[in-house]
Amino acid sequence: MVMGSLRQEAEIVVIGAGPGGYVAAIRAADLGREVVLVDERPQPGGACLLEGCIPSKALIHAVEVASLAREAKRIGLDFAAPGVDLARLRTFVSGVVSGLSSGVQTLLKKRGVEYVQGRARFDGPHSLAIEGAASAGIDFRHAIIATGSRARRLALAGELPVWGSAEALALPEVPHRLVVIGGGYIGLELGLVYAGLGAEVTLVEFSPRFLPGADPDLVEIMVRSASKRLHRVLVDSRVAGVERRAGGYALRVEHGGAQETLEAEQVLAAVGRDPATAGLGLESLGLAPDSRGFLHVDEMGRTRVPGIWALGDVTPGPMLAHKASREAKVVAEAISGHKSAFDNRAIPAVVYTDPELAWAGLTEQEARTQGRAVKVGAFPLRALGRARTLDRTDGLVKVLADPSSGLVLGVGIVGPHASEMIAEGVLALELGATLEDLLVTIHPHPTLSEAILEAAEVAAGQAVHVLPGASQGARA
Amino acid sequence: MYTLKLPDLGEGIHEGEIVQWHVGEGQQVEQDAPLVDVLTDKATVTIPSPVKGRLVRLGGKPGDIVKVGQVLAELDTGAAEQPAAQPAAPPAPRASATTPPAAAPAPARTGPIPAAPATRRLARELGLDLSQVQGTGPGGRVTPEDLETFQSKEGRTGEEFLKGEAGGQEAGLATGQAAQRVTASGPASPESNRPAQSQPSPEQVLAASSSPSMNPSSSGSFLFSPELLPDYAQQGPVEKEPLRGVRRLTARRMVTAATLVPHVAHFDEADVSSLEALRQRHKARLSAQGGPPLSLLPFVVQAVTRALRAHPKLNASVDLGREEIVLKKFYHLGVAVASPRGLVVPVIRDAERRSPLELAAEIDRLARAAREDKLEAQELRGGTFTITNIGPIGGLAATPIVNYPEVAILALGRAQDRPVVRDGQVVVRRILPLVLSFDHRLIDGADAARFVNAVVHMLEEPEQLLLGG
Ligand SMILES: Cc1cc2nc3c(=O)[nH]c(=O)nc-3n(C[C@H](O)[C@H](O)[C@H](O)COP(=O)(O)OP(=O)(O)OC[C@H]3O[C@@H](n4cnc5c(N)ncnc54)[C@H](O)[C@@H]3O)c2cc1C
Repeated sequence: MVMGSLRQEAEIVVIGAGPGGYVAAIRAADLGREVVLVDERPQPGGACLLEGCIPSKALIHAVEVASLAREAKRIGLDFAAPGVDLARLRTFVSGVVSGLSSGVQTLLKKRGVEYVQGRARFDGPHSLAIEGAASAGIDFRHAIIATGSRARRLALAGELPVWGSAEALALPEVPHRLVVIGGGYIGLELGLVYAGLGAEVTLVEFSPRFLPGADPDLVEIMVRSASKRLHRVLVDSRVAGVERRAGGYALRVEHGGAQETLEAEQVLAAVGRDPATAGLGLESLGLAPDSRGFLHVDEMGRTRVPGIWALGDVTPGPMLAHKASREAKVVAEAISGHKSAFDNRAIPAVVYTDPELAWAGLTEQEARTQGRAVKVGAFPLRALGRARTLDRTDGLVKVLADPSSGLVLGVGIVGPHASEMIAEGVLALELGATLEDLLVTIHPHPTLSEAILEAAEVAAGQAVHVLPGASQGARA
Repeated sequence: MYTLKLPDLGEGIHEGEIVQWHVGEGQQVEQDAPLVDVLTDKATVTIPSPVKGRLVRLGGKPGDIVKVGQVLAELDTGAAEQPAAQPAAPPAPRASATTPPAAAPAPARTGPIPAAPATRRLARELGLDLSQVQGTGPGGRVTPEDLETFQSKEGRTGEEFLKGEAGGQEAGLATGQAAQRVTASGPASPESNRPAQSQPSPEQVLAASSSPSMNPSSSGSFLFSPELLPDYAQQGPVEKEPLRGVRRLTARRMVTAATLVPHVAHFDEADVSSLEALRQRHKARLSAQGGPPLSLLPFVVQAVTRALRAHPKLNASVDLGREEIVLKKFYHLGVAVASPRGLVVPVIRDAERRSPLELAAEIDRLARAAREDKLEAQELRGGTFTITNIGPIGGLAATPIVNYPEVAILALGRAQDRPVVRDGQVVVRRILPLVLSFDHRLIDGADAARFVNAVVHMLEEPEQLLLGG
């Protein structure tokens, strides 16, 4: 033993206390394992809780309330233009974050999971060195790598202090003009937040369309609404240079052959995230990530090296908290000798724009590229009672089914609360439900969830609320 | 790439044991040339190669059991890849265990097999491959009941599950080792992971032992005893050999018959003195003419066949599944004989159409083929009643187990001269002990007695037997 340091032993060590790591730790502890959880941050929660899902959704809520207040005019309610007190808004957001994080801390403590703050690095097949902690190292039998992902830096910006998503979520100020580079879900969400807080936001996206994984007709409805709130939306556009200007930045943007210069007080780079596998000492395990930095695992979460498991954003697949948490449970169960496997049929994708966009399972465009025949039932919110009462008719629900068996293959939703509604579609996919299962399930009235029922009816050719031959009929 | 699966060989055969490969891995094989010998419940079948190509993967080595529908071989036909029967699955984040491998000609289903998460977990725990299970739910959804049905039908073991498991576990584990591998590949293995506690915790042991592959009784295979045997190696030196081939098949079929059939044994004896005299008179002459050796057996076969025609229930089968009694109007008599691989029961087809001499010739031919291990599958199938002749080896009598799904079996003891009382005098007569074991579900004691009486009567009155009176 080295002087002044303390080596520990652990049956399982989990590296990273995000929604992957902390869930794995809790589940494993519940299954009787002895667990140590390591994270370089002082409190658990990872990217999601501390600088991702949670703070962003708190801000999105605030902006939505403001927007409701502004739009209430239409239904006969007059509010003064909402003013934003950034300090109190920050307090609200950080209160949500710290409340949840200390909740996680309590959960860990109650299970006897030890939290070690420090940066972990493998220095042998069964040992970790921990920097910046009382613990000098941990000898483990199993290690779960749940180190998540890090925001990709915009190379063009060099050392310039442009924002990443974490900086933007800290809400240092509301710039007069903000250019958001990257039209993925993070760029869209944060762009709309700042627009809602009063910034003049320009969104620059490299590809010709937003969210290429989702069906274009759904994306279009969302983008049409979002565009009204944004100053400008530039697709098919490349940021070719970023320069510092007095009081802000000048960005050179190429669009087709043309060039233009955008000026802004602040720039937010939301250009993707990379798995956090560098600097982990994986070479001392004989484990190499792929060219993009991902660790490949089997359906139990095992890497190629016995005793080394990985989950969440460091593994391939969508970088989403709910994927990480599900994988976490599988890994904890598999380590404990249970026959568990990640055999999920759908990982829902949700974009918290206004309106929200959510989809799960097969999309119409995937079906087309696969040459696969599907029945599609689409139902516009404009025909739905509840959407009318909310004065929100900007939306569409789509259900895809197998034409012969009627099995539900995919669900896509754009509209208010799409994030909540998609869960029914995911359940249908997991259960192997058929259109009929959806049809005979009584959906409460009046709710937005009825749109799923209606779309299923359209797909089954039994729609009550659609005129025969209407444009949104079933398409084969 | 051509994937050859063990074809359905008919007659309820659902698995086979690989006996030998005619072609080695990497070797070229012509279409229809012998590829592999597979031993089934009934016989060894030579499976020809359905295509011309290079054998790139063997589905098992000699001694391995292959189920019908399981991959037996993969042949590289040199042709361009067959277009996939279905569009590629949507880019899933990872391969799921239930997705059939791309090489296998998948059933006409696209995408993952519909089944609820709880059902999928159950399948995993039972070691079942969902893609093999017929779903009866709406849209072909697999239900927990479907898994049950499938399991009881297939008599699955955890073996295939381990073989099919992703993540680099070695394939082809023998059943007995499978259980150990579960723990070895699991977390608690002391040798796969160095430090800290070197012993698995009790919970880990518990978790492992409650997993289905540790508990063969849940596997549904008749071969497994409900409890694990004690470790005899602790008591003294032991030698182990795999339970394979005819021995394995016999073990399984005996367990079926013995557990399913309520057996009753009926004892009697026949005075075969006249028959013996007749036999002795003709035996030498026949063999001098190059004819078959004339034993008592052909006469017994003749007598039994006649008696069966008069007592059709003894030539029947009980189909509990359909709640039917199947009365067979043909008489294929099985005769148990020894072969190098163990006891086999070749069948004399249409015994009622053959004279004792023809029967003698046929019995001789079949016994010879059995000894030389040359019986055809056809010659081992379709029996309706079995005779087992243990007499020549020794013993007074035996109570055999019926050759299920036949309903009766006749054991012949050793014919010997014994003092018996005739007309108040003690005389020496040649006595043949007979034991009929029968399936009491269908046959009552009186039926059996009447049947055996008829057999005895014919054996005691050879004229009647030969003249068909
Ligand atoms: C702005 C934003 C919004 C998002 N919104 C959503 C959303 O709405 N819904 C959704 O599902 N997902 C959302 N995500 C994605 C989500 O945050 C991630 O998918 C999720 O956090 C991944 O969880 P994880 O456990 O794999 O890793 P992380 O949450 O990234 O946690 C990894 C942890 O590991 C620690 N760590 C890394 N390396 C080391 C080391 N060497 N030693 C010690 N500790 C280490 C880090 O400090 C971190 O705490 C959002 C992300 C961002 C950035």
